Amino acid sequence: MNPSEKLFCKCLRLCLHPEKTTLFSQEERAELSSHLPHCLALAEKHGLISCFYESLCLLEIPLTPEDRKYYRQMVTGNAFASYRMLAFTRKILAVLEQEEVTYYLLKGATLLDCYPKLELRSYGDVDILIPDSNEFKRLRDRLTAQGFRNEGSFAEHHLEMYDSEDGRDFLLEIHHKVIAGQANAEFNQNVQEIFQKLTPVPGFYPPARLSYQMLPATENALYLLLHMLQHFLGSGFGIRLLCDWTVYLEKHGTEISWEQFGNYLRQLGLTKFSSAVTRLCQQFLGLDASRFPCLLDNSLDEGFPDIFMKEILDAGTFGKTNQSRMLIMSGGGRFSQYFIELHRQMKKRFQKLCKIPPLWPFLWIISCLCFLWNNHFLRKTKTKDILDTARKRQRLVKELTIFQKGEGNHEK
Amino acid sequence: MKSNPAFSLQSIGDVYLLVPLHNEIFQKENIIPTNEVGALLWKNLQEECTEEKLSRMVSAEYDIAEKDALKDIRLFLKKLKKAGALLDASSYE
Repeated sequence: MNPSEKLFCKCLRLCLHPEKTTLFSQEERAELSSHLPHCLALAEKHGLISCFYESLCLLEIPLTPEDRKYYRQMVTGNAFASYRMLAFTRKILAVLEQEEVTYYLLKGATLLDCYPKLELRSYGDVDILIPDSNEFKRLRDRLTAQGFRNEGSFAEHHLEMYDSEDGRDFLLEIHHKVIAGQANAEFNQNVQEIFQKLTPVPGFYPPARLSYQMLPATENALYLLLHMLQHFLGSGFGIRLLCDWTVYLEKHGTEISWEQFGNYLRQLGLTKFSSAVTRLCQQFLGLDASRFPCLLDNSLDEGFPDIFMKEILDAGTFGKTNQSRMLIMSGGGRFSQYFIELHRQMKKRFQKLCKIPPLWPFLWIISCLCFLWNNHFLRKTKTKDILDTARKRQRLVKELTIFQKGEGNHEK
Repeated sequence: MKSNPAFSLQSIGDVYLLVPLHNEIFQKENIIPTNEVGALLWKNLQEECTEEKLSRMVSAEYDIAEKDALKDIRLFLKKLKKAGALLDASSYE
């Protein structure tokens, strides 16, 4: 990691823990001043300008009038976006209540009470999980009648519906599964079983008097981890999700059944992944991980956190900032794994036609052509670059032994 | 007069906003950008307050003439009232 990246992480650490005013020495404050442009670029890349500016003000870092004006404009804009999303969340919750649907609000508003200020955690959409298929359809139909529209976008685990207000579009993702199916069928089955037999618990955000239903604390923690995993195995995730993990554990750690959480990790083969992200939060974001010794794994190499954090900082928000980061295979970089991934993508793309095996060769060819087409025309990147980046990221997956059960030496 | 509890003073860095967080719908015109002085006034408005009391407080804090402070305070209070952020005595007695 370069000095700007280290300083940026330290700024986030201060923002999440504003009481720790002695975090920066005088020398570090001076160093931060000289690295401001690079740190700002990181903040923009990771959607964390408000957090970054909050830390600059806490540290009383001198800014030029032009820079201050820019930051204030961005922060004000982000704040207004937060309030709009809060209103949209209320609108959705009102419909859910009227329809008497059993739902779980995911991420977004459920994390607001974990952050020092609501404006520090922006969210661009509302995610709800509705496990019951009849209630799912009933809600979909009710929202469609109310003017919500599905624009034909393609996601295996959720339906995207858009609502418009004052010339702006708001996105609602209705999940029937917590995350998209991964390359490991047993993992997918286990995840499905864990989240099927739950009962919602009440959540409340007092400053906005917002009431909602959410996953129980243990399963909510698991969901946050799975969400990171899903994006890690896609094109990556940014540091914002590590911030979520940090603040969620700090706020709700005592409500989590760590024994059950550990069982889930072993069952899903995520012990080392969980340990790795927790160690990053400990090392870079100030999480007091001594409160959660069961999450820490001794078997990670000493240099691994730096490598993993570098990967996350390079990714940006959900890996969107670099179009060559489109792919990672959990099973390794052999040719067979590429073919398995192609088959998996084919099944996602052609959810009905894939049930006719004689069509598979044609569907593989179409899927492959779509991948090449999208790389060239949509992502404007070379397929070779995508595959090269996938191989580099593959090493991380191998180190984290994802989906492999029984790994890791745990601190008790 | 005093502040409407449905409004909250939000701050990110040195950006201050008075926001009706309890409101069901988003209305941009009801969000009041303000500054450090406005934040101080708002904190004092958590209890029953008069314009004169506020201007004495600002005058002492920022070393400016009371009548100058009163002029700006009245403008600020007018904005608050328009957005529904201010309750007069009849609203809460």
